[in-house]
Amino acid sequence: MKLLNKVLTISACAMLSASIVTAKEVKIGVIMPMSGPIGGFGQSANKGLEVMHSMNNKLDNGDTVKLILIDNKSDKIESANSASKLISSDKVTAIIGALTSTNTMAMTKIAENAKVPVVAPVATNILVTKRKEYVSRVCFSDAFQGEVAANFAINELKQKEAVLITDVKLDYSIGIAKIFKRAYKKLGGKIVKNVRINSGDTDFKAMLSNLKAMKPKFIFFPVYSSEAGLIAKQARQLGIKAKFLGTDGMTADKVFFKAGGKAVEGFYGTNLFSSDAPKTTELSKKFDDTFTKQKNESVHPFGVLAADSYNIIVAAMNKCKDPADNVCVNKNIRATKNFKGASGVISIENGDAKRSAIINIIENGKEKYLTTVNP
Amino acid sequence: MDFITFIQQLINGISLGSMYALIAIGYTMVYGVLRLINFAHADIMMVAAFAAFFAIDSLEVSFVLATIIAILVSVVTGILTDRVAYKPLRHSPRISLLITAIGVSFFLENIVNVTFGGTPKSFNAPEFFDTIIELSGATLTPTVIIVPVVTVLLLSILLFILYRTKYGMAIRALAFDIKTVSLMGIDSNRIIMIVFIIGSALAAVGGIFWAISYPILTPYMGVMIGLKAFAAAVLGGIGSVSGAVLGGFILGFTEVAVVALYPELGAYKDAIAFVFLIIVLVLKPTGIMGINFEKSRF
Amino acid sequence: MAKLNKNFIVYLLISIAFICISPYVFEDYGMRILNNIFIFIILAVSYNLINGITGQLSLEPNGFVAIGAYVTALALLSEDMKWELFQLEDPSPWVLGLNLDLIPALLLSGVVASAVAFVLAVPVFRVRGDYLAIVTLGFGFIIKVLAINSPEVTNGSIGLNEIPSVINVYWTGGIAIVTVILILNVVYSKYGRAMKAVRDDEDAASAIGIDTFKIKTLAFITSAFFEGIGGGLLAVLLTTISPDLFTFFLTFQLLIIIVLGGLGSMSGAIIGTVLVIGGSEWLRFLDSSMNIFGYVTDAHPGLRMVVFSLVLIIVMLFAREGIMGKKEFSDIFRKKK
Repeated sequence: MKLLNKVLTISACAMLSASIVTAKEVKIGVIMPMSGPIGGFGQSANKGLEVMHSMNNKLDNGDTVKLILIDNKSDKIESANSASKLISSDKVTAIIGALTSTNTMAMTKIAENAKVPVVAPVATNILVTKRKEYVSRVCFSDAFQGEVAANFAINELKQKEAVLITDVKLDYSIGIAKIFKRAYKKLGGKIVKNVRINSGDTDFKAMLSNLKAMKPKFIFFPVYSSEAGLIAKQARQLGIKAKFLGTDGMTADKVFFKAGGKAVEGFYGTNLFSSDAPKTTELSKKFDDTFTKQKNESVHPFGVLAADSYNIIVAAMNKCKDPADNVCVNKNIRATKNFKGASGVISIENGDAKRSAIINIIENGKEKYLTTVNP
Repeated sequence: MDFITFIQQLINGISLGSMYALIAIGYTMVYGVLRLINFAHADIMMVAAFAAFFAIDSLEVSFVLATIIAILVSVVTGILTDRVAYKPLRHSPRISLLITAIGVSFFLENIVNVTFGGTPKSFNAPEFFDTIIELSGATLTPTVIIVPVVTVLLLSILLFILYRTKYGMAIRALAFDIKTVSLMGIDSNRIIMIVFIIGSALAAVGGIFWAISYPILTPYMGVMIGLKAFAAAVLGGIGSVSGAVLGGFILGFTEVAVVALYPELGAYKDAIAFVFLIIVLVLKPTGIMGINFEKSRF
Repeated sequence: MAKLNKNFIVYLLISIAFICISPYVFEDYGMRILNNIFIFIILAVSYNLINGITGQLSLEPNGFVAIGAYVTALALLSEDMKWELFQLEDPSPWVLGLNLDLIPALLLSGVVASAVAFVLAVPVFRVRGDYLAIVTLGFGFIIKVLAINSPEVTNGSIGLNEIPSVINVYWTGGIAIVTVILILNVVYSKYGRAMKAVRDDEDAASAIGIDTFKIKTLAFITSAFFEGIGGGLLAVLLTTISPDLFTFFLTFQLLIIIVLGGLGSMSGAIIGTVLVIGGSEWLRFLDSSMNIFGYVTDAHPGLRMVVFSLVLIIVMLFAREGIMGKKEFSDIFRKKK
């Protein structure tokens, strides 16, 4: 009996001391596509998140912040299930995710019902935040980017006629294209040809040969890196000489530069962030350096945005008496004003981010900063 | 459409068609001998492309050596697939074989996904393939000439093997009636292995050409290509090697033609292969070359 | 009619009791998985009808599920919502006019899916075996392409969102039970016996006078009907659908489920669903960093899928009959007639 008593006492003391010594842990759920067709984007975003977390993983009051990552396999059902698990099983206070607009929308209802804030790093479709109280994003919406592109095309590039290439499989592409069309027409531009492609296509020669016959001067193509790189390369192979304007999806993955090679020199692109833009905040410089040191490569725009989603949540938590109080955290997230994040200055209004867009030109295989457009 | 554009589109069609042709041959040979649609065939092509990518990028070997490595890797993968997954099921109902093939296909895709990560990889082909040749308004790259030539060359070699060598005769005999042939003392497993070697090697070549022409690799790139190549094989006449090549070219041309003549239908491009497939299977399942398995050989 | 024997009533009562108790036992996450399981039971059991019972390897369920999902979603969304959601093109007038409650919407989904199946049956059943698989795969793919490229109807790639969430586990569980009962009815009827005859030897079946085309089409249509309903329920559960939900991967999942459970066994399909859907949640740990006896591995996302493909291959190689083979629960306990 004596031994049993001893054991019991010791374990009781151990547990007691453990609970005193361990500071509280606040959990943030992360839902990203780490495998499946857009697994690459998720992996890049997550790298940025990891670095940011390593730079700042404690709240002001000493609590540690824990990230719980779930791979949604680029799938909607998984996104919904993951959100449900994080909220009811893991009891997270906030969720970062899920990259694409459609996957994010699969989980917003669950989050709204549970009153758990969702911060989307990259979901750009306007429907993601519309009429929601608990969903915010740190990137600008398709609407903004489409307008920026149209303005740039007319005012800076002075192109009054455009060929529009839309990826019909991508809601991102469709969303931006629609706004671009509207804004471009309003400014007096004319879309001379509407071309449709599918993500996953690799051969664009037939389509491009048709275009070549029209001798186009300006092409706007809000598509992702793989398709953009191949289009650029094949356009050059066919001898098409036109000005190309892309969006943030174009340069999102390095494969655009590698596959496009010489073909992408002189391309213009709108973006959320540029690694050589005059750094608007201290944090972005620090983040950039730390990332390059830790991962041996330059940071991907999605990674920076994921990092900022994290930053905004942490900042909101710090403002709450109980950092695990999801309603309070959400209130503070939605009230973010002029937050100096790693990707620039962000203000959140009704869940949408008000931030500047950057326009880059590709020079020597890298994005070179051209100008900033403020909202 | 003016003449120059027409020539340009013609070149595009030849280029695309020959790549489908190379991969279609593998499908048709395996089907001819095993009556199995090897769903995993296109994934073997993908594995070859990734092997070459790995060789060039991480091992930093020359392009030629990388190609050889890729061919070796795909041949080994093909043989393993047959030995491990298909051979034990030789005498099982076809449905089991088909489901297993689907399983192997998924397995290969996901193993590559786990090993290399899901980000698209860019393939560094030698600069030579990128040079632009102007031909009175139409532009081409060396690949456009090399691929069809190599395809036809390989096809001729294959036909020679099939019709003029003992092994070829064995392969054709197996395609005709596998049970009786085994009774005649021919080691059917060995012959089947040879079929997989040839098919996988051709898929590897197709994969390398594909990687040169469209230098972005993803683990799932084989899926669409495989289905289209299979459609091409069926179109030309499943079981016929020349049919596979013919089918490949027809499919390539049609895809280009549809986009060229009806650009609004551009988004439906992928469905064309399936439409062909369904029409052929429903109206004339034996395809263009009309191979009827009850009475035929390659 | 179904054999309403004692065993069957016992199972029925147990299931109903389970469904009623579940909200009190499971929390949100568990309920979500349960809902998923019930919907997949509907899909698996109907897929089993054409695949396992009638022996026709159809790779098309993703197409019918898609049709069902879209029909239900369009029927449940109000007209105002539609004007807002349709970003690409304006919705076509009959889409706007479509407005039904849940049950009529689900029934309509089933009807539309089976109508499509009826039309497709003609080309599909002209071929057999492997060709059938490829043709159905092709049709499934074409349906997906149509979904992407008909923005006036489906809103293209953006899909349909904010579908009213009007179901809970009573709906999914209840409809699952009804589906299982109905399909069991078919399996144990003379039609079901004819289907099994077609599976076992189509030529012999034809020789003894069975109209194989009619039987196969019947199986196909019934299968599509319930797959459509399952699709509709899926749409409401997720509250958002888009064409990328209905890929070959969905078919692959259903395939694994019925193969694992045993092609041709309804109870097997149910067991298979629980194992695969539940298992894929449980196996999540494979995707992240693991602590094996103190040795920490790196996170390898996608490992889960590798394991699933291996499971399929291993089952096909070593246990082709699956868990239940061709038997049902009731057959274990008494001699099969």
